[in-house]
Amino acid sequence: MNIRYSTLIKLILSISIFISYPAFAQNEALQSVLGSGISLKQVKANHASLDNKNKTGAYSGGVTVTTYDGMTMTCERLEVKYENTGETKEGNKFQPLVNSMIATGDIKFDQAEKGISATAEKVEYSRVDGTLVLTGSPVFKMGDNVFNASKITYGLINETVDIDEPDGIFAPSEKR
Amino acid sequence: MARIPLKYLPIAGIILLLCTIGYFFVKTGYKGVNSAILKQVLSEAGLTGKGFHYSQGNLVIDAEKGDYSQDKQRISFDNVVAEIKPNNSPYTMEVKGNKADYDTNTKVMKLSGNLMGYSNNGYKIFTEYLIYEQKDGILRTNEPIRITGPFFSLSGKGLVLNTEKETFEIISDVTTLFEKGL
Repeated sequence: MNIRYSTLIKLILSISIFISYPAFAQNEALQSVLGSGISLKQVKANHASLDNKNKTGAYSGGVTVTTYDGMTMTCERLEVKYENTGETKEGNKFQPLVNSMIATGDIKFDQAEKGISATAEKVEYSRVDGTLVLTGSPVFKMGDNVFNASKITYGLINETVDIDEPDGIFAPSEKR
Repeated sequence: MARIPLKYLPIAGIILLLCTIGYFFVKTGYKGVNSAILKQVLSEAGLTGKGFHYSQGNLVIDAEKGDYSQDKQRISFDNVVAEIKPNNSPYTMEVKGNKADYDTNTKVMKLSGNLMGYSNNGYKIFTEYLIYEQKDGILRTNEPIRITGPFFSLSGKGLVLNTEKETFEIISDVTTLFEKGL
């Protein structure tokens, strides 16, 4: 009973912090993971395919993605939509630009250096909307802070976070 | 000149027939004679030797040396450059390699040895073995493959590249490295 009460207090505290601070700690943590965009560095997978006429690509089977900011994501499938911008680079006609990505299946984010991790069943990235949407019971962890939600939407342009049905524990940092 | 009596004409016909049969026996069975004859005939026709050029549909092959098989169904090339010009795509591919073998019936070309493919959009393919199925415009291999380009590079095992549909698959063990900023 004491444990439940303690958890309830933490939940209330957590939710009140969400309401009270537009740029709360989770936002800062997500921001530190994502920055203002996604810059893919490496993708490893069992299988890859690309359709240049439809401007789509897909990786499947044990997909591991690393970004230039040191984030690692694993998933079962990663689908990418891109466009050729027509910009030139070293005399080449087209420069591909990633418009959207959808990762599905047992997704795990990790940025060990900052002690940040997250899990979800689906992550959708849209360059046009400037959003990263985590669904499928997303859980976000940073140190002792853990929260889950039905949906987490991260705005990459304005660095905002919308959380649907938040739930979890939050340990305020000494800074706060 | 002695005249052959009419009664010997059937015998002359049989001799002619035997000669014809003998010629085909030689052609199909006796390699020493056949090879020499074929080489002489092909040489006279300009079909063998250095600077071999062959073109069939959207496929153009240049090689240091080219040889037809005995049945003329296959052509073998040494130090080959094969250019593939898809009908429905602006992207052309040029593959250089040590050896190639083209089947004129099935329209299948097998390339091997130190292969390097160049596409006109700036990508290069490196592998040891490729099969080009000309009818479907498909390049494929089960061997390890590496692709490098201006925006990304990848390595893996096995490739199915459809030059007409502009699709490709890496069958297994894929690693892609992206340029920063894509």
